[in-house]
Amino acid sequence: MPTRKATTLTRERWAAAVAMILRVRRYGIIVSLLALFVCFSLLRPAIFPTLGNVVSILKQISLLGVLSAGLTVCLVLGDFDLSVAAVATWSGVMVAALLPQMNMWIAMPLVVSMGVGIGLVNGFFSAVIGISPFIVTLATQTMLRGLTLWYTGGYSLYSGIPRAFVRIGRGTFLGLPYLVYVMLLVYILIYVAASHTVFGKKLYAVGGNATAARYSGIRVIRVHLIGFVISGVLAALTGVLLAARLSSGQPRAGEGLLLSAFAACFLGATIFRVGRFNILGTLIGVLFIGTLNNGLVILGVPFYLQYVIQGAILVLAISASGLARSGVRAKRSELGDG
Amino acid sequence: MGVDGSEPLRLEMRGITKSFPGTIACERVDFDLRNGEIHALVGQNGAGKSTLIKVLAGIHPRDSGEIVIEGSPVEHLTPRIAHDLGMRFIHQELNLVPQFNVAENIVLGDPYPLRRAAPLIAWRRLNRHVGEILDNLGISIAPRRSVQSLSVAEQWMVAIARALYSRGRILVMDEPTSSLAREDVHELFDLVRALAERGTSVIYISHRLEEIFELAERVTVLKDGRKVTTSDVADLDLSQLVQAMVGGRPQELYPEIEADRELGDCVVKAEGLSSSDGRLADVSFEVREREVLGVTGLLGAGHNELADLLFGVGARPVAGRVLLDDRPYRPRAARRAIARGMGLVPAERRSQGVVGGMRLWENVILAHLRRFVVDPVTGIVHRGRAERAAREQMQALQIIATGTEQEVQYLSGGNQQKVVLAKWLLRHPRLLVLSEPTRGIDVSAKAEIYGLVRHLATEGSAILFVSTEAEELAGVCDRVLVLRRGRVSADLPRTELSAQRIMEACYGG
Amino acid sequence: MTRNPTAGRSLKVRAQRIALRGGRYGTVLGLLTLVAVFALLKPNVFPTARNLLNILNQISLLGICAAGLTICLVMNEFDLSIGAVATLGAVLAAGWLPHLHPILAMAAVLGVCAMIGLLNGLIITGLKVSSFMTTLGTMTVLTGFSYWYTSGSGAILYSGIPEAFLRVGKGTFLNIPYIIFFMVGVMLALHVVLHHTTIGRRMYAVGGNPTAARFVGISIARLKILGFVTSGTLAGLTGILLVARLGLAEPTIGDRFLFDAFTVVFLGAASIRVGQFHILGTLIGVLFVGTIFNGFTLMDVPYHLQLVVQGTILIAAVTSAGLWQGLLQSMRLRTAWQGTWGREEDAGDAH
Repeated sequence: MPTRKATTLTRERWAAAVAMILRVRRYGIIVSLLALFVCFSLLRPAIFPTLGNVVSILKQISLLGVLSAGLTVCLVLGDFDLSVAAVATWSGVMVAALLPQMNMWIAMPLVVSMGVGIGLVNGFFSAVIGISPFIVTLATQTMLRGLTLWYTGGYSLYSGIPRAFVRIGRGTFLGLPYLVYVMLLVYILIYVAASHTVFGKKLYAVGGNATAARYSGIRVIRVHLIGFVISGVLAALTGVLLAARLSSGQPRAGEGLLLSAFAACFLGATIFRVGRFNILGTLIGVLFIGTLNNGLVILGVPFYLQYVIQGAILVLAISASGLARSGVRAKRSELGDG
Repeated sequence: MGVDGSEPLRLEMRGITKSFPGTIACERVDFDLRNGEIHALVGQNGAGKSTLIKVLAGIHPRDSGEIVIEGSPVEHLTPRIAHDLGMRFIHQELNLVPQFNVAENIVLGDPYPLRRAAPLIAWRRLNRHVGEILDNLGISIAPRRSVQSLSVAEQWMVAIARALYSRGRILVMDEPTSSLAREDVHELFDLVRALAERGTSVIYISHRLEEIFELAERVTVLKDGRKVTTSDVADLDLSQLVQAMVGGRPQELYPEIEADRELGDCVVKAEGLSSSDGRLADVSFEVREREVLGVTGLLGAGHNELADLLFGVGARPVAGRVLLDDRPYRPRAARRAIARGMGLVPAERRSQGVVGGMRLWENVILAHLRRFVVDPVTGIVHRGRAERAAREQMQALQIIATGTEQEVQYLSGGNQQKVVLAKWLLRHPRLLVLSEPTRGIDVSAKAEIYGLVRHLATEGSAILFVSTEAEELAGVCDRVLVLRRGRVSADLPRTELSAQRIMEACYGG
Repeated sequence: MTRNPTAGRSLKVRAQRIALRGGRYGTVLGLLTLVAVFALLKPNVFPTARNLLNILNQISLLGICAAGLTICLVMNEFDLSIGAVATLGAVLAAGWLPHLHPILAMAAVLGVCAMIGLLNGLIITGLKVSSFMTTLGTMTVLTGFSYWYTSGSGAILYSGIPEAFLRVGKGTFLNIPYIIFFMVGVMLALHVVLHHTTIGRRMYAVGGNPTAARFVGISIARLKILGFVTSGTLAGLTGILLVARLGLAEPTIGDRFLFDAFTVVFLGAASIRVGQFHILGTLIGVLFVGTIFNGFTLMDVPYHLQLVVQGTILIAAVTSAGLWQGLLQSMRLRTAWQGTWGREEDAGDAH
């Protein structure tokens, strides 16, 4: 009958088998993304699978991508930052308001630094004082929405926007819009930071077990603050780029972004490290949403049906990740205690 | 049918088998329980006690075997059905609802008394019922008190009262004394005996073998998922029991300590320490290189608090001073302690010691991240160096894992604890503080940890070993500091180190 | 840090005890202050019975919606779909009322909304997934559906709504609008359920310690599903009453309820039973928001600035509640330790 050592070997073999099954499910979203691409290509072979369309997809998701990258960092820490869209909208309006009065290379960093300030406020009330980040960011987004609407009176700001600024939003280099390069750059930076730097280790440590992180000498509060600042900065950057793309500051610009950003992050959490937020996963999630939207528009699907399909796919993705995670949980529970 | 043919058994489990992917947790285990009996269930971690109990509680469905409760076989078990059948479980985490008061916690899971006219809760009747039960059990806690304001011992009383509120027939207690002080343990035992006399059958799980001898009538030993033996406690002695649990020759649990070792310079010296929360008052001690100083006391005596305070994660000192290597040290944050060469193996390894979701190598380098960077500007981690360091530790500490890549949450308790140790051994610590380091760990892993502690000491570190198990303190330490109500009550030298003497000193003797 | 309670009556301890007793009423005090300020600024208009009814009328629908959300939050589940369900309820009601008997139409709408809650609950408990994401998904689906139903262009439905129905929305009894009675009735019912019935207490148990609840055999899934069905149904009721009040429906009509409901429920968790979600607190939150809205409107302050104030008050309220809780916790710990050492009886907290 199995000795203790033999039991361990059987256990390891079983663990390997389960891991393999999980790996297949784990890449579910990528598989779905490819399936989506194939589907749309078959349905509209002349339009969809063209280089121009792929570039178009990338352009459409570039801003959502930047926003979601920042949000992912917060979500790793367990902080729900509901203010990202409002920060983006506010930043777009602010930059449009400042551009007529100063050099755009001063205006842009100025607005992005406002993102730092908002992030610090969010972080202060949630990490230092200890209020649930859901509520803090709910409050800040309410205030920012109010400020934006009050400042603009509901109107768009479009006068005095220099052409150079608009070129950032519309220009291309080697066929790809500048915005796409910005997004890729952001993802590379955030990915390296989160997965391969000291800060990234601290980030995942605090997100995984804040007490253990603290006992290992990590400054937990500071990590949370930096997380919110990153989220705020990238949200502000999104807003600036949004204004560049629209060549105006629009007080209703960011509205759909919040839900899509959360959707992208959660979709991303269904792959690579199941149940955990990660940068690459978010990128795939963003691509998924963008491809889906693009395909539906090309198919001429009315926008309300797009909502329905997006929502349904979101629910399906969550269900799939839920099933995958129950497998992980079962495996963990039996290995943990005697 | 009863063992002697006369009385029917309260509970019979026959041939229970339960397996998970990769392990057979329980294999054809038999267990029976007489009416009004206190029956202990012992075994190392991984022996299957937890699984057996969870099967009984309806949390895991069994693969095969029969469960017969008071003569009636039970086909299908869920927590609800187990509850309806009169089984009550008290797990280590107590599981009280913090927002509720004592009365509502006691009635949790059972029907509230309702008013005659409408299906609304009759609060006064509830409080009265609960008050009666508490009185019957000799517990003097008011039913309307919030459970958050209770001490740990009182919370255990409430948990037991809940188990009995609706006339539980079988009470299962899992490690009830791991966080109780001696005097509370005696009160608890009196309570359990009173229950048994009134007809409740008790299954008592504990790592503390001396308690088994004090409390139980029979004991069942599990090992590797199988039942080794069931016998009357009177027919066994301690070494026989340990032998049954461990199998083969009884291991040498504690390493040899040479009688005349050379102790080095003083590493840490504390004078007149008092803490901001009042748990410590005027505590002074010193630890030298190569010395293992034990710290112990009853619950609340301040020993755990001392460990946390020194490391900078507990209360702040409001009086006194600490010198580390003859230089003043002000405990403010873990960072500072680490910078001065301290390490802490915290009491709760799962919630304080490791980040379960991160990999083994990441956990090992977590306290010294900066030492593994490619360059200080970017902060990028040199993975190769880090993994190499982790592999060295795995070898040195004999950590069993599939590799440095494995996520720590999948390691067993003992191996997780070794990962925590490895974290501090990366850089030879001047002072290593261990807080209940062998809690919830099986016997062989315990022995390994004791060996590691002594080895560390020999290598030149000073060790502060905080524990409430008098036996291990006597076996591992050079001296033992006994705290009582926040003050130093005794400083026992090597010659006086016996489990008996240590326990006496805890009580002030 | 004394061990003898009688010797501990220092000024600091006494001040702390006062802060503790008063802390839980912080939001109420804030509300009263606000009322006083507005009464002083607009003495002819603000502190009148008519205006009070106005406030209540404004917030009644939010109150109903928030009450349903409270149940979910008690069990630590987020229902983000309430805004979309309210919209759906309104749109369906406006669509069906012209063709069906009003009672039948309302029952049908409530039935649909209850089913949506059921679906939410089943997915979340059955697959053990995040309620945040699931309700985000259903919210998106329902929004699309509402647009589709209104001919895909966000058209407003307003024709064919029976007079009798509109009278419910605008009519009064003893000069008090019917809608206020709805809100009071719903809140009262839910309050009684949460605090005086087994189901409600078990919901609190699930929220307070789900492991404990599970181990004593409480069916967590069933309670959570019930919670989602409740919030869905009440959101649907909100939509129906919107149509009754406004006489029309369009596909963004319920949107603002989402954020506003969360705001008031969390404001409520900062009041009286600090740290717990409860109906009375939600009511206070709703009154707070309503008072701000009303007072500022009377003073011609633009809506946008009201938003800013709303956010500020939320943060202030929750901050002080958090600090209060921290204070309470440290005091409790100290008392608990004294109990362990000296076995003295604490004064005890009433239920």
